[in-house]
Amino acid sequence: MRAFLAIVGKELYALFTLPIAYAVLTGTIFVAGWLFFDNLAYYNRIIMVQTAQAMASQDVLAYVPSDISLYTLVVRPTVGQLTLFLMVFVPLITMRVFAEERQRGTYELLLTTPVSVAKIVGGKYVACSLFLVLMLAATIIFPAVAVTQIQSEIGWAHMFAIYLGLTAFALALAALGLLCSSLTENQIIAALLSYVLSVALYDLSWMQGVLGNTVAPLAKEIALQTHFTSFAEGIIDTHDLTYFASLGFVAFVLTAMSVEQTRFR
Amino acid sequence: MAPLIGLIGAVAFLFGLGAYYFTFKPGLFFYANIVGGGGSLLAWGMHSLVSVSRPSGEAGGGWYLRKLGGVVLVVAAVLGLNWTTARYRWRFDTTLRQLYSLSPLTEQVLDGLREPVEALVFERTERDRRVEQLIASYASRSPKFTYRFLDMQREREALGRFGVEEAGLVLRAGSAAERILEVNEHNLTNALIRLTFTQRPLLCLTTGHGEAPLKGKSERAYSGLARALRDQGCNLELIVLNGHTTVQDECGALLILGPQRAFSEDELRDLAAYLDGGGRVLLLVEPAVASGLEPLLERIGIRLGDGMILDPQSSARFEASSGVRPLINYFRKHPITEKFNERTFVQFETVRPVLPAVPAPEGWDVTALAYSSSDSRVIRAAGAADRRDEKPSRTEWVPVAVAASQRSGPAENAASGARVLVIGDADFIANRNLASLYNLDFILNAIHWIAGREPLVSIGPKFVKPYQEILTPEETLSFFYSFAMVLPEAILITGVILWWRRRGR
Repeated sequence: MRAFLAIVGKELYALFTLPIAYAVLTGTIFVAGWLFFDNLAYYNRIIMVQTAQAMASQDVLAYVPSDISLYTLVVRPTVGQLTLFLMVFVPLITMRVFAEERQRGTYELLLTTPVSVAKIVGGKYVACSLFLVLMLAATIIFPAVAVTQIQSEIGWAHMFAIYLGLTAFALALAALGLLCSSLTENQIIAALLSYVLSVALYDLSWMQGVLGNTVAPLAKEIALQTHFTSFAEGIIDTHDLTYFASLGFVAFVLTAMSVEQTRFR
Repeated sequence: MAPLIGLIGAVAFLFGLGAYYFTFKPGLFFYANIVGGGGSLLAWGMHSLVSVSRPSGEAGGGWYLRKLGGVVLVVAAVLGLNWTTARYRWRFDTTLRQLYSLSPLTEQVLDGLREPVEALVFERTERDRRVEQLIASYASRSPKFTYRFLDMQREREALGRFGVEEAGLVLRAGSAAERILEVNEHNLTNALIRLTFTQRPLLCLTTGHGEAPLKGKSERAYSGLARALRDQGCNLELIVLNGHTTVQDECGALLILGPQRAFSEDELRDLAAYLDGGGRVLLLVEPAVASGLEPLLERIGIRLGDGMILDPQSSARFEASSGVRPLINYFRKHPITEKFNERTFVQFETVRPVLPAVPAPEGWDVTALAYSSSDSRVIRAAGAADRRDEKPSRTEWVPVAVAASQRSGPAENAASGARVLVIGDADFIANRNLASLYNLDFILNAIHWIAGREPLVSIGPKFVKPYQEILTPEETLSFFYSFAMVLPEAILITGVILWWRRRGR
């Protein structure tokens, strides 16, 4: 356990002494804030126009359509855009985990320690996960505003569901990123492989273009986006939680296998 | 060389995906990059695996096969677990207004499905997530409810067959179909009702006594109720009782909604004959209105009280009411009020007492359904000479609605005897009040019970008003500076300081 915690601590220290970590943190909060503000400004414009139209209408029952609301025009798009943002930034965090060690020559040193491969991989994964959770926690101020100050139709439980989904999504991407990092000693290649995997898995509707409509149900079931949307809508589904945990576990097993085969080379 | 091919393949694959997500039309560019890029990646992967499998000490073909076997087992176990959780899953609705928790009415209708129902969701390229979750909630409740998403661009033939011109939903059961343009629980459940309850009862409504109109947008009209009944598969028809009318056998029920003038002797004769024949009557009568129906009602154990109920408890909840708009939440056990409790309020507007006869007449079951609070009083209507207030005892609440059902009907209709429901207010279902609290549920339950549609007696979905307030420019700008500027700046400065200190060591 001590060795495991030592790996976690070492990895976190390395993360927080790197400029890229701060750039990613700053970028995350800035982008999330800018997205939130941009969507808010758009919402304001739309609602002013729709309200004016409804008031000017001769129809006694004229109303602003229910699909125009703070949730549908601000919260939901911001959350969706955050997932795309995570797909861009998470590989930048995970690309260096194993690849950098290989580049510096400390990888072999790490593998000769009496620490099991599972603890090595687990320790690095936990460190990345903690960083990502911190990154997401910093963005929670926007929905907190939506829940408290704007008094929208979303509550704290719904916000918890959204952030649970974002966390599960980010941790699954981190697991894939770690797998890609373990396959190469070049960080750029690791990031590129990570992008390929995450973009390909995000929405598998492209498979229909290649293999036809028969694969549609399977593609839908495997896609990351399918299992995230329920969280965004405020539903915590055990099936979706199982999916993200499974994806992370399979990636973990493959990463451990990749690291172990290096150990024995 | 192999890594280079793999990298080029990765770039090509990404661009192929990008082309698809921007256009959603797989063209030559997409195919070339996906197939070429995917093939290159696969070749790189295979090359890497082959180099791993070359024996090197303990890392050899045997090790590789063992590990591969382990991975296969893990993947199989994971797939099995996911398949199981897909079939047996728990969904927790965390939305503030329980948007994806189905109403009792929806659950009842879904549980009662005898035939399979399929929902065809026509969508544009961008999927409506909320509709998707709503439909999934229906499907998880009933295995007989299935759904499919159809792309409007790809399914033109189906579009034409169902007459769908814009995004919407079609419910199919056998050869029948119902089309829904605005997909929400209310419309979806009503469409299910129309599809599965193929018998459409005819509700006959009296006219000619000052009853509010069924059409029009005025606050007093009953057009909202008429629409709600038609949405749930009822047909409505106005009927004139003139002494020569035999209330049609096809009438599932007779509704007398808010008469302002008394019925004539001939009309009363028609009504009496209808009731004797096992008819079903719903009567809503305002305070201080002498409808002439009193003797008929007393025969079956219902008495219309004089005066108007004043309920001070309601004014605590509803400031402007002064007690003349009682909020009723005390209900007796009856099929109509089975799902009602102390949290389901019905807002009345000037209501009179309606009292059950004790004991009930022979052959009739008479039940008071709803009561005002124990602090309520009955006051005489304005204009009465005697203005004495009557104060009931503290243990006696004042009933506002009474239901009477005949235990056995006439021989040719032995399965269903007459039913009468009397409510001491007709304004609570007018357009201005219908959407208040649980008013609509109460009156729909009353009508469904009267018409013998017990499976539909429940609590329906609630309308959810989304947040549509306008933010001031100052508010919007303050969010921008606080969150998009101040916070990131603080973090970046912290990073710069830390980096500078490390550089100095």
